[in-house]
Amino acid sequence: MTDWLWGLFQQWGLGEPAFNAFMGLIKGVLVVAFLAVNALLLIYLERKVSGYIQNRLGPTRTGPKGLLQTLADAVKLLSKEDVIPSGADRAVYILAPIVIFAAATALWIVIPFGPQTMVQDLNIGLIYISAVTGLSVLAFLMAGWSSNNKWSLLGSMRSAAQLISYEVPLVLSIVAVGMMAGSLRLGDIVAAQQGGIGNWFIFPQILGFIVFFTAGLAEINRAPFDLPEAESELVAGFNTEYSGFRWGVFFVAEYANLVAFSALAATFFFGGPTGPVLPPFVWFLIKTYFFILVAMWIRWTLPRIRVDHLMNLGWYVLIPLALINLGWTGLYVVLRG
Amino acid sequence: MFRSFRDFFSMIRTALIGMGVTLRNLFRPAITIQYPDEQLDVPLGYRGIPVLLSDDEGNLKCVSCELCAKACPVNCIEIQAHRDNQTRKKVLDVYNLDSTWCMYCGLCVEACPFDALAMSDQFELASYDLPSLVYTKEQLAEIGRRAVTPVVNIRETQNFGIKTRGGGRR
Amino acid sequence: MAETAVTGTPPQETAKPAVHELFVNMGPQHPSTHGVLRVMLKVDGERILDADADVGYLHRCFEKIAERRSVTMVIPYTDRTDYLAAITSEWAYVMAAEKLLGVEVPERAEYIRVIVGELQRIASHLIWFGAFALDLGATTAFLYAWREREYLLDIFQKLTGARMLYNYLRVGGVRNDLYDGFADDVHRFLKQLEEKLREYHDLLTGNRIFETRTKGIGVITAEQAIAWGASGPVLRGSGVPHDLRKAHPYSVYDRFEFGIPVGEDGDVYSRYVVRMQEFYESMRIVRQALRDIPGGPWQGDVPRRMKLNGDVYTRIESPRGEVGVYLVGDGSDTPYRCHYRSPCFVHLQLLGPMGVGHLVADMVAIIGSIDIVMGEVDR
Repeated sequence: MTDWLWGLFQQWGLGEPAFNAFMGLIKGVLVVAFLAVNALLLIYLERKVSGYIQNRLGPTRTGPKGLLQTLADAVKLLSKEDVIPSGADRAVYILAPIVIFAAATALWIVIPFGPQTMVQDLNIGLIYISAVTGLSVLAFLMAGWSSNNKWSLLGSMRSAAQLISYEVPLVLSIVAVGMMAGSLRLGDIVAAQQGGIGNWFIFPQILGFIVFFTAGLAEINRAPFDLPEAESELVAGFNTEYSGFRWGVFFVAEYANLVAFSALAATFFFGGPTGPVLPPFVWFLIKTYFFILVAMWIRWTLPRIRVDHLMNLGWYVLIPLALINLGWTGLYVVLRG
Repeated sequence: MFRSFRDFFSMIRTALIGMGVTLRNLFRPAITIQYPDEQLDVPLGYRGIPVLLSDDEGNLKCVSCELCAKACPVNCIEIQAHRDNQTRKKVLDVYNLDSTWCMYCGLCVEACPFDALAMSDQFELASYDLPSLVYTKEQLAEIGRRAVTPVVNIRETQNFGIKTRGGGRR
Repeated sequence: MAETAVTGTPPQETAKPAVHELFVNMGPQHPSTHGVLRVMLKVDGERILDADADVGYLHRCFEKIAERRSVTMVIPYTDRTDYLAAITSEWAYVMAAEKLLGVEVPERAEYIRVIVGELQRIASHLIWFGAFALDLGATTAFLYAWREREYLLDIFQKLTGARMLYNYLRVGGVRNDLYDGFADDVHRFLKQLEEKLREYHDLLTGNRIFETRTKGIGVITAEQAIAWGASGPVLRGSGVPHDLRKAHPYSVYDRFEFGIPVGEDGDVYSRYVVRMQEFYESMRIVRQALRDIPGGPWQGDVPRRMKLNGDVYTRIESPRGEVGVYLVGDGSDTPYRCHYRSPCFVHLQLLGPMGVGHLVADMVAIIGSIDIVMGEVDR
């Protein structure tokens, strides 16, 4: 397919840059489509899971088993009036959802769907991930500040504090994974875990996994760390003033981040797309969805943690744990030879 | 700092206990009653909209004594009657019950000395236009005639409502 | 470092030269102000410098309405003051009228009142548990509590004909007798509730996050609580074993064996524990009452025209605290004056002393812990 396209481009007299740009566009569209489908599915799944946990049924009316509920909601959101508060900073207000969606999508460039199937196997993959995950703070701050609403401001300040302090343990735990694989390239990390469960990083990295999972949940604002939008405290946090489609973009970005986080957890510690019999992409989906379900399970069980406890947890527990893990990983790598 | 560590791990441990509870509930059957499709049985004595009852010949039992209107805390019952010159009996002309005001307390039924009024089991009273929420004599009597269980008085036994057949929607 | 651990006490406000104050309106449209409460917050970042409750958004002139209606006609209105514990608000009013009229209540009626009153306490505490959990972000516990409450409301519906606003108590008795099989229904419900309460404890009480959210938050001392006129679980949470059912037994409460759960620290967690214990005490009372209930009439003799003379103050222990009714009669059948003492109204004034120095998130927990019903506050 690729060769055929390359031939076509040469026939038309177009060089390699044009071909690369075209391929990039196709891959980008595919990733966005994957994210959109996943978000639709996940919103449905979240409702069903929460429903069953709470002895309810969840959506049942729209379509078979309520499958079209998310679609109906999307149509509703799209057809709503686009409200921008009169006191808002219009440019920033409009830009914020775009930035968060861009950040959520950009993360997917390096995530491996198969052993070598990814948009671009960057040789600085881990650094790229830690850089891009930090980008969403910007969007939260933009949304909170430009809304000209005190609750939004409080929410965005919370998110800034939370994301910045949880970035550190997250990156530290990722670094340990890089040390294990001896490479920052995600393709190499997957390759290092090939050949059975025994090679998965979860066993030497159990501490790192705990840190990664906790910090990751905080990083994507998942309950019990959903402080920036804590609905019982801050009304809706940073997106209080958003409605209609703009709010929908925040919502989709949240789920895109959830998928990305689960995919990263699967990639870093559970062998990513490797596995017997089934094709790699299926393994990737199974592992990713397992973590998504765990995240949902946690969300519908736990009460929300308080903001100062959250900071204490990050600085006093997770960072020391990540550092201990880093030391242990170094020792492990040296001893392994 | 060690306390923080201990806290963190006890946080995880207690979270797992809680997650056990939610997991157990995940596999329990849902208790949802899918309302318009399936309905819970409305117990006898339920206080739906008050309705007028008729005797065996189909005539209203009401004698227009207006005790219900006087007992009503919100004055939602409007009664107009005239005296028939031949039989010297009062004839009920208008019996309007404004269901937007009614708070379904049942005091009118308790006040009625002739068992001409009963709380029905009709609760689906929603409507798209406001005037239709004022129930007239005929409408109240029509729901009352659908009664399948006889009205029983509060002074003698515990229940004093009726069960009706068919929906209450108009 | 150890002092400000994950579970640490809230850092004390230190004197700062410049405090960047922000005035925030929490409510009347806010997800966790339980209706239309407006809390005026002065915050520095998220730390509360001053908190003041603004009430009155749900004022419906209950007291004035009561002056223009006969005693029986007011009973449905009392339901609508504390709509989550309608029986207890009816009870206070009915007791006041009975005292003014000198009406004897048959024993069976008193037992029925105790049974429905305690079941009402359970229903109200279930709502409180759910709403409190929701305030702290535990959505699932909220729905579990509502699930159990629905079963209880089914019993109430069978007994009184309504699910929330019962209009069940009457001057001199109750509206109707218990239905056949009432005791079985209640016993089945209580057994089920006991199982579910164990689940609630697993889900929330032992949870470390929950503990850190509630322990040491919103502390009022016993002296403060008494001085501010607190009652009910808020007072008992501060360590004062004062319960009107024991201190001034009304109805037939002196015949039952039950304890008064008392908290130690006066914080949100103590109030939580007190209420969770009251579930079990209420269950004990209901079981004893169902065992001992005598036969006989459920409605005493009441004068046909209830002419109210003199004045009386009656008070009962509602799920939220001391509900009092001050009734003045002038010889006609409508009260000359009816004052309704709401415990939540008193407790709301404690928001300031409880909340200052804590975070906005704690204010939510505090509001949840005093279990307000705005219908009762504003009346």
